[in-house]
Amino acid sequence: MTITELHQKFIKKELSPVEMVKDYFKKIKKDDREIHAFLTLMEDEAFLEAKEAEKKFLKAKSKNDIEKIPLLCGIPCAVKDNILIEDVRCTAGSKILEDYIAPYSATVIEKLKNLGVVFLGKTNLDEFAMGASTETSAYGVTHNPIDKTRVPGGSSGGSAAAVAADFCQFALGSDTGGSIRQPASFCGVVGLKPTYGAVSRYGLIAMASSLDQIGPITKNVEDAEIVFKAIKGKDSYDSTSVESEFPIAEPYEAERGVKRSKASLDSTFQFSKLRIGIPKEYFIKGIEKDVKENIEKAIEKFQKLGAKIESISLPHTKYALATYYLIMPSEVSSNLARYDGIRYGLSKSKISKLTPKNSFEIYSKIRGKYLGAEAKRRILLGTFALSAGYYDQYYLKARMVRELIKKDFEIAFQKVDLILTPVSPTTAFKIGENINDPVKMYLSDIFTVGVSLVGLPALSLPCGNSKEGLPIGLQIIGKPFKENIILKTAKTFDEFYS
Amino acid sequence: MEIDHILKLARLEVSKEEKQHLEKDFSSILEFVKTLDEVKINKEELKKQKGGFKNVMRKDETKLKVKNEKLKMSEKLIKSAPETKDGYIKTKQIL
Repeated sequence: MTITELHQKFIKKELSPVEMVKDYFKKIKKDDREIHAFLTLMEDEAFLEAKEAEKKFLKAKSKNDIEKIPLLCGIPCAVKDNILIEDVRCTAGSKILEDYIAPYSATVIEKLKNLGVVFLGKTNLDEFAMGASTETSAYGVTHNPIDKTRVPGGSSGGSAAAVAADFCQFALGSDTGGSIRQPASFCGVVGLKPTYGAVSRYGLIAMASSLDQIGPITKNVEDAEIVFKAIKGKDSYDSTSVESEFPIAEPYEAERGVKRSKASLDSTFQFSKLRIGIPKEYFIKGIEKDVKENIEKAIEKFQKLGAKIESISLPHTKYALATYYLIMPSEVSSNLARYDGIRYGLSKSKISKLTPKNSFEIYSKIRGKYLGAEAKRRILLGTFALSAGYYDQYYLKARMVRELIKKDFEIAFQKVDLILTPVSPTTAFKIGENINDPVKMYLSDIFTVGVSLVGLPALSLPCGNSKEGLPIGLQIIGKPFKENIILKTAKTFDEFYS
Repeated sequence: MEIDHILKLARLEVSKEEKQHLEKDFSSILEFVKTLDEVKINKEELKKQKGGFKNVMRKDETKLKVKNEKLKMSEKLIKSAPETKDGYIKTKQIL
């Protein structure tokens, strides 16, 4: 069911937000023992919020009253545990924040709360969102609901699993190098990484600040659009956020009697005028046969719908992953310096057990004990890449290559409106398969990091299954702040083929 | 570069065994990112391309207007710390 359909049911009193929340918690308590999507449940808060939402529907008598109720009112949502909700524990999947209670809410949470969204709980993630499988979480692995012996992807694995297992209507994730798109692909759900700056990062626990972006993970494209519209926009608390310049298509408002603006996309969007680029560098050795075949089939379908398919080249693609693994750890080493054992998250007794003699020992003993292996690997690499004598060779070089990757996309987007690629070279892998080989794990993000380095928007859209029945995701990449074109295209595609 | 030196710079104290693991992973990742050495950079060309960035400035003032809200927020922020005294975060001597 879509958010719009739920909203209609709430209006017609066929469904009550409170009953719905009750059912979700029943299901979570029964089935999440095997999936482990959630780290914290917010049952008391959720019931209060659902009751508030229900009151609004009961009170609304006139057509005018009903139209004033936001689409997201009473809709249950799960939130990745690196996004702050005031007075709720926020661990970022790390032991170093085990006792951390968020002192304020992220801007995205405030925005959704104002619309009446019901928050069910906080979902599991790789520690500080660093990983591609949710296995680096200090609180145990999340299992893929499609096949419980496999990973849900990562780092927003808990959020993607919660949507796929129907523990909520939608979830929020964060994406630094693929952390919304890859788990969405592995779990067979929709994930949108917005343009860098489209959504405020205030209240998102920082990993790599030039890359991080919050976005929705949903059951369908329409829901992704609704949630994206609700969370986007400039925020005075995040100086890198901007107001999107381009109008978002509003097909649902028409159903509710709202007049569309002239600039609305619907009047100009024509599938037959779309030019779609297929970068040859993304169809390489190492990509699973089933993935390749399904993506090629999807591309054919785009062609059948009238889109013009063009072969393009993004020549610096093969350097994207290496560039990412210098830029990101450098920013990580700086951002994670704040976990010094003095300001956040640990109890006094945990610290005194380590008997630090001076402040240096507080920092190093606590970080040594309470940060996990992947966090340490990335801090080390970043510290090295930024250190005297190596800065030019590693960090600065990576920044320059990042510019070349950006130029590749700029040139490509002069010719095409959208670019299609696989989200990941493989389907969901087995739990434990890659965890001891960091470089192999990093390869899971090979098709998503380029987009992140350039700050482009991209959607992961389910496009069939492998022979083993594992979902495959198609990545639809758009020009900066053209989420509207991505969403409209994905929706048209879905309507024809699902 | 010595792994011990980087560990010290990063303020990480780890066991001997963990250090061996980290060292091994570190060299394989470093080998991987070294592929960037192949990329030739034309700095003049890059300079031409750079742009599109602008600084976003704001006044250095609190956004919370109500005095009570300010107090509530600072209390909460300080409460996040493991050890506090009289509204301050307590730590061992730094210098």
